[in-house]
Amino acid sequence: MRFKYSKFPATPSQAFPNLKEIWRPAIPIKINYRKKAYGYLALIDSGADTCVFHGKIAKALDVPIEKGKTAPLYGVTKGKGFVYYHNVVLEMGGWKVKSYVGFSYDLKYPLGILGQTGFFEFFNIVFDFKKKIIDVRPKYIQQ
Amino acid sequence: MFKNNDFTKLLKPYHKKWVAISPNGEKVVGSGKTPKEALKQAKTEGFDEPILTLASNNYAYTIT
Repeated sequence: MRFKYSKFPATPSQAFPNLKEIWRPAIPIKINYRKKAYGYLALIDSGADTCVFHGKIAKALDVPIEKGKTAPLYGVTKGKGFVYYHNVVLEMGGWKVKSYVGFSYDLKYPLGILGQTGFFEFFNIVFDFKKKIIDVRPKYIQQ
Repeated sequence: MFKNNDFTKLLKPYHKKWVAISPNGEKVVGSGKTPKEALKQAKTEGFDEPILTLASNNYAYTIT
């Protein structure tokens, strides 16, 4: 399935004084945990090792966040953060995959993160930044 | 698939708030300090399956 890049606000800086907006490969997904499911906006991030979503999303889904197995998080947190991993079902573009994803109250980036484990392991992704298109194709369908 | 993919004006007023976006991406249908607050407001607006996100005025300068 093809998705379009989305345009988000950006704050200018000394290095980029004219920066007011930025295109991101963000897509709408649905996170299913037991009987609850919510839509969520997430960034497709090939540099991320795992999928990490905000802790408050876990709370809304009634995921017992701190009962999950933990791992440290570096890069999108202020210093070292903590992530709690749980099994969920991710839906996107009509496909469902059983995915092991992290939830963190330390995630400082506004979008959820779709990384290698839990997302790229199931999908082939082609980024066309010039045309602002992301082509997502499943490798395996679990359900 | 979103009909609207331009969130520059849509999300900027909600900096640091949780926002529920309509499934076509065209409008904010709920907001609050938590996803639950945004969802509750979206439901009263008639949107049972919105897309949740944490709004920000800056999505740049990120490296993972």
